[in-house]
Amino acid sequence: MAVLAGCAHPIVVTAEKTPERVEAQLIQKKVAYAMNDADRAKEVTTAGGGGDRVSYYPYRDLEKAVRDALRSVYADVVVIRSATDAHAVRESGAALVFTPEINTTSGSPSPFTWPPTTFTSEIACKVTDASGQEVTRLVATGAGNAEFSEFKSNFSLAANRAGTDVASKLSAEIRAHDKLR
Amino acid sequence: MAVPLKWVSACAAALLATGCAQLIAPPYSSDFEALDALKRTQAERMTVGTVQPTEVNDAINNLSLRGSPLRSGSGTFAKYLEDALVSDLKDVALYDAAAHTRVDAHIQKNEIAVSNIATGTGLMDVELTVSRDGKQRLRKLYSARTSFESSFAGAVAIPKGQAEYPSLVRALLRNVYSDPAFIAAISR
Repeated sequence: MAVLAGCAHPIVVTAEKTPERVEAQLIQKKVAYAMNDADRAKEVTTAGGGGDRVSYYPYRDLEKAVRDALRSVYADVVVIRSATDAHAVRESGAALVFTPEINTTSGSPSPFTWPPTTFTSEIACKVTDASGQEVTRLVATGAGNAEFSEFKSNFSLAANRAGTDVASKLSAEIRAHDKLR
Repeated sequence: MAVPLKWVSACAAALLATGCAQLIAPPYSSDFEALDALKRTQAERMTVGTVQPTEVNDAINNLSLRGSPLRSGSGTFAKYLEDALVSDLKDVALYDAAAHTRVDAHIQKNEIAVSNIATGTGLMDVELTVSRDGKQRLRKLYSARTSFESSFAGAVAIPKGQAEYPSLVRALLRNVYSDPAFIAAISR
């Protein structure tokens, strides 16, 4: 039991759904987002219920949410490893590069069970142009809640719902920025 | 107060994650670098045939993590792989249900092992064929092996194994997409 109490419970924080891509509404631009294996390997530990903790990989799990949010706005989306790698930016042919920073919180009022019943995912993006100059910054925050009775086979449910919410809000936030059109 | 709550939570966690709970594999998430690289090749649009085995009771479609069944949200792990392939090809605009080039797959091995208290492992072998206008262009066995931190505690090891499944499929498809033989088979 001591071993168990000392460990964090792994969850997966992927989005349940990601924004729809409607070809007729896409901005005819190629953009990139910056993410590399070091980002994807970042493990984060936050609070669960009953004083326990949960661990997960926010960049690995939310990469599809970021990519699909961009793909719901732009005609062509690619990944590069770093926005500061001028060669990679040039090679990609992207007009804009989005560098996401992901922050999360979680918790549960339950004294008896560990899965989080509340979860937030924040994706803050620095957007640079092809020459590396900052264009703008934007932030989208998603929240998800799940009751214990809903968990059944998925203890990550609140996180998955937060992923869906943040992907949708990121898409809307990008569309709302004139500089990103 | 904190200590008893911790113990109660730990007991509940053990009940939650061992023995009785049926677990669902998390959604697949692509290796987007590999996909973007595939997009830059001369690949033709392709369709995906039915991935085998489709039988729900086949051992390939029934994984177990220390006694807890791990199922696919798609119904079978064969359908999970099929959906992953289709999703990937759509992402890079290489999917066309009516294309002359077709990819078929048969899963030969599909395992997530968490019995070791220190290290868990994933193993997947898939025979993949590519045909065009009914003529076979490639038949090859692709393999993926993954390892991950496990634990003595089932409440940690079991969800670790559950979380690993998408990584195993991602590793397998990365091997496929980056294989020059596969790229040649799907190219013009």
